[in-house]
Amino acid sequence: MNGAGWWCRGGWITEMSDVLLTDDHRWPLDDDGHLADAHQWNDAFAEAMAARQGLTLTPDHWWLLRWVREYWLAYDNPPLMRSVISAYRLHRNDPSLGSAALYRLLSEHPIRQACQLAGVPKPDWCI
Amino acid sequence: MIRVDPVDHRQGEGQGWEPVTRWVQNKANQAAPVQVFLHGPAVTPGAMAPLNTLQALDQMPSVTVTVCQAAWQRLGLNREPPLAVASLVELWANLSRAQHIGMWGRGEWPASSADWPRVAEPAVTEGGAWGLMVAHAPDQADRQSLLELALAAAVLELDVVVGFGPAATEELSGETGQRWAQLTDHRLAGIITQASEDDRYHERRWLVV
Repeated sequence: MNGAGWWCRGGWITEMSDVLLTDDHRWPLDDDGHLADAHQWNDAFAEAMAARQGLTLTPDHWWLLRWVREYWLAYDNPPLMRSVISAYRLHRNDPSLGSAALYRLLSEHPIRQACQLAGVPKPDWCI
Repeated sequence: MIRVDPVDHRQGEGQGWEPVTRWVQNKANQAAPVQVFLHGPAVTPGAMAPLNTLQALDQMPSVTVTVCQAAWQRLGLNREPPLAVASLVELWANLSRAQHIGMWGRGEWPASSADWPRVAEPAVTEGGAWGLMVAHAPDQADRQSLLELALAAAVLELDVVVGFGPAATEELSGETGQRWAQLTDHRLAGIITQASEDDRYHERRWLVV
């Protein structure tokens, strides 16, 4: 066994200071703990990062992190909460959904956490 | 709102910080709270070098000199700024209530242009309509700060359009255009390249950034 770590479907995960390891993958992380090269992202990374955060990814988590990733790839910055909520309402066909629904998915900070799971940099702004 | 290094910007006219100081003093003498907000290109160690001037302003009754939190964070200096920080959302909340706005931006209103007739400043109304006039071609860092400014208004769901004057229309092509496109793609703000009644051009309070 590798010592301190987390178990996920991909195997035992070990966190070193700047790398996330599973049995068969190795992802360098930046100083903020985000994937260093956004283009190395794949589902296995998201699962491993989620496991490190004590999360089990549901279909709604996958929708959220993929939507955030696509936004970042399109515009080179993360979306506003307002934009994510609008898209989530459409996705769930439920106009009553608000920010609370996103906090139920990612309770610390939905956009920031989604960026980390989606393999894109930590939002560098605080508007 | 200061988006330029007044020392560099006014060098040719030999004015430096003096017009800013005079404007702030004038408003403060009217016993109105004044927020001086340093944004974008004004948030660099060089631009903030006349720190004693800024601190003197900050010590005047009812005056607060603040530094844009996002711009300071991006400098990556790993130290506290010498003045208080404020967010762009806080700035917009104050702008929405402001009786007077002094703007020291990088560009001038597009001159002698039929596309951009001058507008009289509309009356202040809570949550009124706004315009950001990009009158210069921004560099990468400045583009980021301008986008942040527009996005912060969108956080408060303010009615904002971003106008691109003749010197800035190149912004809307290629990769930079794609960055601005998020405003319209996600209905966060409008983008215009000439005055239009459909966009309530004459009803907006314009900031020449």
